[in-house]
Amino acid sequence: MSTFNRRKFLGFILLGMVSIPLIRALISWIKQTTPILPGTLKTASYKVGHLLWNMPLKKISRIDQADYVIVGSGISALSAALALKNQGDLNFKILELEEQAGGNSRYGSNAHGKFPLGAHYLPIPSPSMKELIVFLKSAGVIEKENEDGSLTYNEEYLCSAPEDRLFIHGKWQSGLIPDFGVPENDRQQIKRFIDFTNALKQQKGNDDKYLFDFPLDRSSSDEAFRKLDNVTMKEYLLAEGYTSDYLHWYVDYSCKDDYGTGISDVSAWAGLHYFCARRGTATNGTAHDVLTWPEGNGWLVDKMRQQLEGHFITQALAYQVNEKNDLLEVDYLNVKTSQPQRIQCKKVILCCPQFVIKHFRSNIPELAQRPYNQFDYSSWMVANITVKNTLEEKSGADLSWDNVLYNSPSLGYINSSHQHLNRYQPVLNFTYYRLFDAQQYSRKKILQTQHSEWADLMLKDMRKVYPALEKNILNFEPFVWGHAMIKPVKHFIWGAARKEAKKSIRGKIYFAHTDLSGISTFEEGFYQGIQVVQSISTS
Amino acid sequence: MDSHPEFKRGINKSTLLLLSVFVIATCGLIYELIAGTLASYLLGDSVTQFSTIIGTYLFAMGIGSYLSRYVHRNLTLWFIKIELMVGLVGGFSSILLFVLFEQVVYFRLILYALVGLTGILIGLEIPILMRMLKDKFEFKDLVSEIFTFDYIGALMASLIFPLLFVPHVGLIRTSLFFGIINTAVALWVIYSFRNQVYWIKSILTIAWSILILLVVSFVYADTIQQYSESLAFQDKVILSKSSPYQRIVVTNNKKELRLFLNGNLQFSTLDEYRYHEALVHPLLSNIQKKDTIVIMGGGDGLAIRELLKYPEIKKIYLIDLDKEVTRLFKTHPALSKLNQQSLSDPRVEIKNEDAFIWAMNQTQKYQAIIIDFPDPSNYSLGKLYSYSFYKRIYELLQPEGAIVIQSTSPYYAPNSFWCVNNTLTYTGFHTLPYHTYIPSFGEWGYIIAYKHSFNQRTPYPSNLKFINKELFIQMTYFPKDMEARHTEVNKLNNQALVHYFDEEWSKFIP
Ligand SMILES: Cc1cc2nc3c(=O)[nH]c(=O)nc-3n(C[C@H](O)[C@H](O)[C@H](O)COP(=O)(O)OP(=O)(O)OC[C@H]3O[C@@H](n4cnc5c(N)ncnc54)[C@H](O)[C@@H]3O)c2cc1C
Repeated sequence: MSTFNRRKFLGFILLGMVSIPLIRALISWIKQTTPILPGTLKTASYKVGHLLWNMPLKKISRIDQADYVIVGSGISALSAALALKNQGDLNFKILELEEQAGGNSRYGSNAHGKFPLGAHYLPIPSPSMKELIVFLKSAGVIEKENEDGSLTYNEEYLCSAPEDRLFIHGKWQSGLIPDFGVPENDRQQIKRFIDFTNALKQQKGNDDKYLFDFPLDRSSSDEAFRKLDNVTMKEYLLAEGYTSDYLHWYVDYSCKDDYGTGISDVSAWAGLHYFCARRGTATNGTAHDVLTWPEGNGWLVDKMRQQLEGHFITQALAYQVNEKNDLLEVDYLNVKTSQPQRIQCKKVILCCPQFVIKHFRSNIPELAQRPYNQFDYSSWMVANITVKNTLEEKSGADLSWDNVLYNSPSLGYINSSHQHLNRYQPVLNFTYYRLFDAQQYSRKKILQTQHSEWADLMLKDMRKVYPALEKNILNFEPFVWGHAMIKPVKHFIWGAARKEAKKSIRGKIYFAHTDLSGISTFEEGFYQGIQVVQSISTS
Repeated sequence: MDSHPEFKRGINKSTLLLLSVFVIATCGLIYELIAGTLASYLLGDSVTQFSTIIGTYLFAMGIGSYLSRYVHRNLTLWFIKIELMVGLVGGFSSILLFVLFEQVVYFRLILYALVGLTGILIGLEIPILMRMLKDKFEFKDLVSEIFTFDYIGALMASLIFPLLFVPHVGLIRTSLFFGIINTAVALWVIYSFRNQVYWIKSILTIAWSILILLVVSFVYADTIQQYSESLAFQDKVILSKSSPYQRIVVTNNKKELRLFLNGNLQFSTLDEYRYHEALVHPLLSNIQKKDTIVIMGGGDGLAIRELLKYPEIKKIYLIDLDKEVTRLFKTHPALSKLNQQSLSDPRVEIKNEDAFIWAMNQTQKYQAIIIDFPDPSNYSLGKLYSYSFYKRIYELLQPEGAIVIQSTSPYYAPNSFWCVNNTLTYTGFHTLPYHTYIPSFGEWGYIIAYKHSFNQRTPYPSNLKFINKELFIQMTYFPKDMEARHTEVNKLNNQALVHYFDEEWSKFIP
């Protein structure tokens, strides 16, 4: 049967001819090898920061004097500085390790606009947050206060429509609460939860204070609710009969977005605070509306910073605080010259996180005895992705400000070009948020991860919504935050450590930072600053 | 050399015939995938499209197989004919579907007819082929080989289609390519079995013509695609350009010339004077000091042509984002004739900028601003109808100044129209809405907005074709089916207008 063999042979050749290129195509399709994306990796200056562990001892090269030294220039620090200035205390210095003020609320920029490196929005505040409202008025965010006391916000700063959308079951739906393709039972649970938290929002405790308020220390001390700090949000949800995966995802996403950690970690008190503490009102907005700018909260940082020109010493790493007679000496490394310098002052306000203060040198015993180890931080990677505005969108809702992918390892991306007023934008800045759980991805590993590996992680996730993303990327700039924000885990917010750490040291050293609030938000930072200056003036 | 040359050739032919099963199966499935993909592109809802098309196709194959029993003689000729038909129908299927989509009401019917026809033909092919080969192989081998090749072909098709052809070749060329392959197989069969084929000459002529037709179409696929796009327009397309912002198409017939931006009619020369006279002159009659006028949008220069009827105007700023539009209307002979070379007038200064950004950066104040943007059909256009934008315009206006805004149709889209009005009053303007009939558009609306007072103080130019003071007064009357209504205010953070617009127009334009 030679003919049959020949036939077989022909068949084989043919099969080979078609299958080899096919298999190649398949392999490259499956592997989706990542081309090298342009852009550089940036981080908070942890290298300089790590000098704290091992500061070479050199002679102090210069000594200055001031009444106050503020260490750090995050929201807490800027707010404290403004409060000092507003009460007429002008003799203060702000030491900041980075080149740019703002801490977690800093921003970056490129030819196509500005974009946040961290914090990106502020919900419109409740009427009780008078100090914040005064500031927002002075910054032009609130356009006018009407005769009946209601507030009208500057529309340009309210998040433009469409605000948010969720990619779920292969489609973009508008809004973040899972809806498209969600079974009836899950919908009912979601509705029950939303109704419940909406009702709780207006509820007051036995001391006639709101159960959940901003700043969080103004919340009711009603034990019936405070005890929710002793269980996790997940335990709480399950105990209340909320079993829906869709609801769990939604609450988990919300907690991660604000607290940097999910429902199996966050305390139920903190979890509920997210849903029940915001009672903002406006003539042109509701409690759900947020204020945002292309550069995120960096816009607010600039407004604060502009009022504080002349007080900043940037690229200054504080590493030592000593008591000398009646005075304090704050020593810092001038990063530009590598020389240590000193400021002698009457009071110090430490507006840097506790994990930093832990490594300060000091002759003050109380500074060494603080409950540092109770403070636990999450890590973030925030990437700016500059893309050509020719990306093909999946079906459903239009590109929005906040774009979230259901069940994704990321928290989605912000379109940082969303607030631009011009009609046509050929290039967009997307800001992509990713959170890391220390158990799965250690801080060390995060700091060692290369640009190309971040690109890989991001693309794997984002290809779900933009299959042709990499072809459209002009620049990819990941920014890594090793210790980004405090985690409000069980027992933390109403536990002993936080209470202890807030106390000043003999009316000389004061503390203000969002890790002392237990939740890291603009509002808390703002009130950390206000409160610390209040306690200085009352002492 | 083991065998007799005659014998060898015969076997080779049969083997290759068998291999053609593979080609046929691949082609058949490809046509089906093309139909499915095109239907999903054009009609949406890919799940429905694909399942109904696969179903129709398989069922049609069954019909084909059934029909094969009625083919008695001339199997080879039948095979060739079918193969040529498949090549023709399948090869041109995507062009046909593209072109017919915009033209025919019963597009779905044609789609399924096409899928059905291809299915029947492919269904006929395999049984005929089996019968042709039944004496050349042992039956069990034959059945096994044919179906093996059939299924391998199907696998091939389903892999190369999404991986190679759609991304790299495009739908139109893919179908033509497989049409060419089908025809080539037919030609090869004709030549190999020429002694068994009747009417060999005419069959050959047909086959070669089909092949040439397919190859030529393959080469000119891009032009065909453009043509099929331009078929969406009823008339001859005399100009078609893409700017970074939009697709600009100008069409022409005996009576009129029409401009489309992104497929939306902007004007027809038959009645554009109505639109532009009504846009410009009522506002201008209120302006006593007509030295500087701003016009936003309106890069076609037609409103400026109206403005130039006032000799006292010294300066006109035209703010239009799209450089390509203003360039075309300034330099294209047919287009600049329409606006009577208004864009070349020394008093006109063209600024190709975003209107919102331009307004934000102005320090000067103006007497009159004419706002002629495209309808608020998406969020980026919605910004230009927002409270924030009007607030800025209010600040740019002198106390005696006034503006006019084209505000879509109060008849077809009353909520949209009154939303623009209500947003203007919310901003602090007094408004004077009016409307008129423009045959190309239907009932159309405008709103004049002013700070203090509106009077038709100064006379209208004498050389107008349509509007005058008395007519304008009538235009401000709104009958019951268009009367003022309560709506939301359009703000950046609610984009209420885009929602209204979408809702209202979708009733008229499916
Ligand atoms: C990725 C991300 C997203 C966020 N998104 C939001 C959001 O959308 N909305 C929101 O309200 N909040 C958000 N936050 C929370 C944000 O942390 C707070 O809003 C606020 O910026 C915290 O301010 P802070 O002053 O308390 O702390 P930090 O921002 O931590 O400020 C501390 C400052 O101290 C400096 N510093 C530290 N050590 C030293 C030293 N030894 N010497 C000198 N200076 C030192 C640091 O460089 C830093 O500038 C986000 C945070 C992150 C990380």
